[in-house]
Amino acid sequence: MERVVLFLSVLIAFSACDKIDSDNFIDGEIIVQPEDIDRKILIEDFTGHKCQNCPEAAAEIHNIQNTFPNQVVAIAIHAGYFSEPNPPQAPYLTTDFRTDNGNEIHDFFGPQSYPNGMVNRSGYPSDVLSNYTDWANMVGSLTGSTAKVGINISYIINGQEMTIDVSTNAKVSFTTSHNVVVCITEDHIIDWQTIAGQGDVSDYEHNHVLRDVVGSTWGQEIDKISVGDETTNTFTCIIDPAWNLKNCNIIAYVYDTSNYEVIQVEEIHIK
Amino acid sequence: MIFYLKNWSASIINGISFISRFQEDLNPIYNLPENVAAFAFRTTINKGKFSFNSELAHKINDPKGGISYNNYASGSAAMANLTYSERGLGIIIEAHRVDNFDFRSDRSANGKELTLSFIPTITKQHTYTLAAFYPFATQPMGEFGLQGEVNYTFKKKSTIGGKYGTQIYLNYARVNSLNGGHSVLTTEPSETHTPMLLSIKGEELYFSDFNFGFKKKINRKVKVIGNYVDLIYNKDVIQGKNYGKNIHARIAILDINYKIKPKHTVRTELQYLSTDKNNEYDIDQGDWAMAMIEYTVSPHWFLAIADQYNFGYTDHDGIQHDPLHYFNVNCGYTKGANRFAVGYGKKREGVFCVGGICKNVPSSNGFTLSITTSF
Repeated sequence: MERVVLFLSVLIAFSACDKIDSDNFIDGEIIVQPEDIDRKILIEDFTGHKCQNCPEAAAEIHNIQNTFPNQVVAIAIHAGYFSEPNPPQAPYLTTDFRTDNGNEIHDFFGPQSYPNGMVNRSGYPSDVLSNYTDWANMVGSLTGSTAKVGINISYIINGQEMTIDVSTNAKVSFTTSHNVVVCITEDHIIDWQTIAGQGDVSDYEHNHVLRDVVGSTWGQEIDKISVGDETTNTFTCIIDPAWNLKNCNIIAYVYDTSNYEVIQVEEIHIK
Repeated sequence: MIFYLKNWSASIINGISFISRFQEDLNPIYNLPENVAAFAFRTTINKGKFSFNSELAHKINDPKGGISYNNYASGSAAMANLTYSERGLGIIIEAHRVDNFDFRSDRSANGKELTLSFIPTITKQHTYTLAAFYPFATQPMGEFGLQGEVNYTFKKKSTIGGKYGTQIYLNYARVNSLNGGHSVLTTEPSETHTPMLLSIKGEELYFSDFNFGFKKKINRKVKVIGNYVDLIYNKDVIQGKNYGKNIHARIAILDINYKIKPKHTVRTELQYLSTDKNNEYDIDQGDWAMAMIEYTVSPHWFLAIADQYNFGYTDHDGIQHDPLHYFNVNCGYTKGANRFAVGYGKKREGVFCVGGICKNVPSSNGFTLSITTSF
C-alpha cells in the first residue's frame, strides 16, 4: 500500500510540473489579427517620476503597442506619492506632472502601490487594478472583437483655445448610460525619472503623459445610444503653454457609467 | 517520516513537502508554465545537547509574465542551523542561501500579495522601538546570510551572577548578495547566470548586525535589561532607493522594571539611536532618542507615555528637517485573550517596499483604537 501511495505521489508530482525548454520560451504561433478589428483597448498606467519600477511598466506598454499595433491607447497618470515633485530648490525631480483630473482618477480607483494600472477599467470595483505583467494578457483577451461604438475625433485650434468634436456612432443598443471623455496626452517629454538600478536619470523619455482631461473628469453623457445613432459632443480645451503641442494627442473614450468599463477608445495626434 | 536508529542515541526526523500552482497561460508571446511546482526536504537530527536542522527547497521555472522580460530560471532556498544547549549556555550557528525563490499563488503578484513561500530573516528580530528602526527583510530574489548567537547565564551567588543570576547574550548576523545576482535564464543567452554556491568576500552587504545585552534582577523590586546594537543597513536594496550609501546605526537601550507593590509595576525604557556621520555612510534621519514610561496594574490595566524625539537632519534633497517630537499616550485593558487599547499621538511616516513595489504610509496624528483577540 505504501508503495502505491508513493508511486501515485510521484506521478502527481511530475504531472504538476511544466518545465519549459530554453528553445521554447516564446510561442511559435504568430498573432494574426483579422482586418476588421476596430476595437481598441485603453491602458491607464498609474506612475510617478520617483517610482523606480515604473519605467518597466512603461516599457511593457511600448511592447504591448507593438504586439497589438493600432489597437492599444495608453495614458500615463502621474499621481500619488511617487509623483510628488521635489521643492524647486532641489537639483532634480522638480517637475510636477500631476493634474487635478489625474489625481481625481487616482483617488477614485485608489492604487496603493506602484506601478499599477487598469485595462479598459474592466473588473471594477474589486479587480480593476492590475500589475503590468498582466496587461498583455488582458489586452489579448479583450481585443479581437468589433467595437460597440465608433469614435471620430476632430479639432480646431483658435489661439489658445482648442475645440474638440467627438462623434460617436453606436453599433449596438445600450441599456445603461454611457459617457464620453476627452483627454490630452503628451509624448517625448525628456525629464528626470528614478530608475531601479540606475538612480535618478536626467534624460528619461516620458510618454503618454496625461496633461488634461477636457471638462469633467467623468466626461459628458452621450444622448442617444440605439443602433446607428450618431451623436456629437463638443469639448473646449485651453491649451497650456507648457505643452509641446506637436507631441500631443487627443484621446476620446466611451465608458459604461454603471461599471466604468471602457467600451471603445480612439486617439489622434495633433498636427 | 521518523526513523530512530537502533544503535545510535539520536533521533532523525525527515520530512518532504510538495506544492504546485496551476495558472492558465494567457500570454500572447511567451510560453509560460501553467503548473509550477516547488518541493522541499527537511531533516532534524537531535543528539544529546546538539540539534541540527536543515531544509532544502526547489522551485521550477516560474516567470512573472508580461511580454517584456521573463526569467525561466529555477529557484532554490537552503537553510541549516546547529544548536548546542546545556543549563546556562546556548549556542546557535545558522546559515541560509536564497536564490530566485519568490513564489506566489498568482505569477504576476507583487509586493506583499499572495506569497506562498515565507523565508524567515536570519537576523535577530529586535523588539525595542529604536532597535527595530532598521529592520531587515529576507530578499527572496537572492541572498546569503549567516548568524551566530551565544546565551549565557551567570549562576546565582557568583561574582557576576549576584543574588539572582545574570543573563548575557551576544549575537552577530550578516547578509550579502549572491555572486553576480540571482539565477537568470531568458531568451538572451548572454543574460544567463547561475551564482556561485558560496561567496561572501567582496559581495554587496545587505545587512549586518552585531548586538549584545544583559538581563539582571537587582533585588526583589528592580530588574534591568541593557542592549547595544551596531548595524549596517543597505537602504538601496531593502527599500529600493538609489542613495549609494549604507546606513550605519548604533543603538543603546536601557529597560528598568520596578515593582512598586504586588501587581503594580512601573517600567521605563530609555533608547538612543545614532547614525554614523562619516561620509562613507548615509545619515538617513539622523539621531533619535526615546523615553517611555509604562505603569501596569496586572493582570488587566496598563498606561504608557512615550516620546520619540528626532534631533533634526538634512535630507537627500537638501531640505532641512527641524527637530520633532513624536509623543504618544496609550492605555489599555486586557482580559483573557482580548486586549483593548486606546492611544493618542503622532506616528512617523515611512515607505515600505517589498519586492520592488513600494507603498508610502504617511505621518499621522490622532487617536487609535485597537482590539486584539488571540485564538
